[in-house]
Amino acid sequence: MMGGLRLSMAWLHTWSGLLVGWILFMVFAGGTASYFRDEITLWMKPELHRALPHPVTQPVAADRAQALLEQRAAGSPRWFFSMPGERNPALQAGWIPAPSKSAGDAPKKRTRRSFGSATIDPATGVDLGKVRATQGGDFFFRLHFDLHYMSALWGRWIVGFCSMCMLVAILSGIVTHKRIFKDFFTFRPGKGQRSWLDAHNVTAVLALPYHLMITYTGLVTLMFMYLPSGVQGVYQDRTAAFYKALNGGPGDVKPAGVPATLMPLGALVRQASGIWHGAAVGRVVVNLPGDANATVTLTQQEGHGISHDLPTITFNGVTGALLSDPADTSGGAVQTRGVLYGLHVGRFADPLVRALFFLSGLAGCAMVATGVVMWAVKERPKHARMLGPGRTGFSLRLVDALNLGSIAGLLVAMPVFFWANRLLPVATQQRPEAEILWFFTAWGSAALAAFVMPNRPMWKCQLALGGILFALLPVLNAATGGAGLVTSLGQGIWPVAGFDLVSLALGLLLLYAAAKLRSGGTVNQPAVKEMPLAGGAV
Amino acid sequence: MTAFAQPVLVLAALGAAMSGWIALSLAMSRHWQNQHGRGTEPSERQRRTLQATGAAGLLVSNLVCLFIWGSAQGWIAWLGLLTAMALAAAWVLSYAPRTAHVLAVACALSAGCLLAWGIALHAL
Amino acid sequence: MLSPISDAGPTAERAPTATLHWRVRAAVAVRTVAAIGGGYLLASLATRALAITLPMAAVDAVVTATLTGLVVYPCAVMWCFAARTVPRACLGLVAACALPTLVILAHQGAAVAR
Repeated sequence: MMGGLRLSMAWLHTWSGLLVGWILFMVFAGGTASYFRDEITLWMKPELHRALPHPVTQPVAADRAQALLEQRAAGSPRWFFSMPGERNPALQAGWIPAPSKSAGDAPKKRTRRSFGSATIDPATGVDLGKVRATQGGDFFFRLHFDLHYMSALWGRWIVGFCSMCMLVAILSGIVTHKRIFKDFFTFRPGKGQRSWLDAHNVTAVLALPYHLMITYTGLVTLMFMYLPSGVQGVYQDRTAAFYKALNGGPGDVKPAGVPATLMPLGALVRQASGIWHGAAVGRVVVNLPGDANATVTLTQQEGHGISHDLPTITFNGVTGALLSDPADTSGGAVQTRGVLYGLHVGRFADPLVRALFFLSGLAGCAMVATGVVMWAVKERPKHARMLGPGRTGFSLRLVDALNLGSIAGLLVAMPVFFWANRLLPVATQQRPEAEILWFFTAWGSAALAAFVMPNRPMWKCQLALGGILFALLPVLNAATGGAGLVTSLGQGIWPVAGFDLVSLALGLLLLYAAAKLRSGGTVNQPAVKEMPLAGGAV
Repeated sequence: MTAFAQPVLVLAALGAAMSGWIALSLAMSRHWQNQHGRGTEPSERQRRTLQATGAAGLLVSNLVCLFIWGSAQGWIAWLGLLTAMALAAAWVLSYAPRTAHVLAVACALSAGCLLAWGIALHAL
Repeated sequence: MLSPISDAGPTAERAPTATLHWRVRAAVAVRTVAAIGGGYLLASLATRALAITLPMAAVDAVVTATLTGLVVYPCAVMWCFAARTVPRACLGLVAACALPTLVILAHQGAAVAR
């Protein structure tokens, strides 16, 4: 294309980045927040904010879960529970509801909401009950690939398209960047367009391994949906066989129809840990509890390797016989995919590595934000030349509004979600959806305001609003029944303390950015490091 | 590894990476000039020394990361650490360029001490 | 000092409200369609061809092929915009699609013959 490889790649970089940048900022922000989704969920359930007194061993916890499930979920075709850990001190159990006895009922479409669930204190086995219904951190997790208010399929295709554009933008950006090493550390604040370019380069290049990894692995997580031709070519219409070969597991277990007592799960937990040379159990799934063909599948706790495919062991639930073959290993390609998937989700990471991922994610948000803002900054003089000082044509006004709405607007919506979590009455009908509605209402309003007045005062206003809402979250936490900073730091409830501290930091950052933005028409913008860096909420 | 050894070694890795990045940056004309004044250039020998020390710092942080986290997670942690320290180095070079080489020396010395301390803690 | 992404592409040096020559717009449109649609076609064909020919277990072949296809797509897109002329861009894509198509047809032929 025009003028050689560098220029054509520069053009491609600009447009593949700009046109999907507004959605990508949300994807990056939601994804970055998702590194701490368990912690966010815990913060959003203040009823659980207490140091659970004595940590119990895993076999004891499993027995407690079994006792409660036998009481509450008898007749259910499947139980599942996850072991308590640092990220979630309570025992989280769920079950598929027992099938309805009356034959006349039309089969209900099973949605996530129709699962039974209970949060159990592992020490006493008591249902902690009365925990407010909220989607918690899972909202941001799902938002960043399923979007919302549309079928998940549509959301995934849209995000997939944007992610592929992102990959194209990264690769073309690398090709076009002439002095990638000379400019490595270069950041010159206070120089208008040059500062924006420097900021974009620094946040992009210094975290380049991360950006490449996260974008490619993001596509990998849904790759069989995006490029199904491989699966179809080899398996034709037997795709179920492909997924079974890919994921392993006991497959569909058929009920024997003969009732039989489930053996104590604690014993199986002990046995699995033993087979794994002491590694802890993460999750337990019981198929057909109470039936003679019951199976118990235990998955290892995250943190050992990187792969998303964690080791699993399956036992017969009645006899305790080992059903899975521990020596059964996957081929190299499947393992590679497991590692790539695991890299994207990052659940293997300990707190420090996860913090580094989070920082890189914030750099990604900054990269996207500086990119789209920089485009507008560069266009403005051209419009001023044609139309007179301070005037903008339609395209630039549109981009200005989209920039403002998608960046500052999102940064207002995120804390509103947390405020709604604490201010909505606990007994609200369909509470999780209500909180989410608040999120989108706030975002919509901010976006509307952005379209009406896409200028710097509006940036200051929205950034300041987001900053105040974030910074006051620790106060809100303590005032609405959560463990305030004094308590959480004193008792070592790290997830809650971390959320409060990071929210405070983000809020102060946004307020600083709003303060440093000078009102007025000059292009001379302040140091960009303080600009909408804050993508993730914790 | 004892509970106390890990944070000490992590700090050592962070310090090594930070001093490594700053050394590498000072080998570039632009950042050398921010330090020493416009028009000056590091001599060929100075440039090579800075590049070598910089690379050494990054290598030390790599080895420490692999030691703490093992081979798979160690590489991931190292890349994340490098990213964080590179961003910090860029910040220092933009806002406090004249302190850069002092900071590099300080980080290198602390990293050395912390490394020795961490290894001692681990061995005992 | 020309920064890497300063003035690039057909919008450079032109005031924003001046109209671009329709030829330029058409060229960009054709490249875009070729990149998005043709690139996807190439990635799909390459994935399928690899999946059915790679000498490993079926599930591994499919995984390897699909991982590769995800890389083929952005390369195809970049080709569509890097190619010197629009016909070159399209012909390049067509040429790249030829090999996997032949492989797939040959494989189907062999399957039918068996």
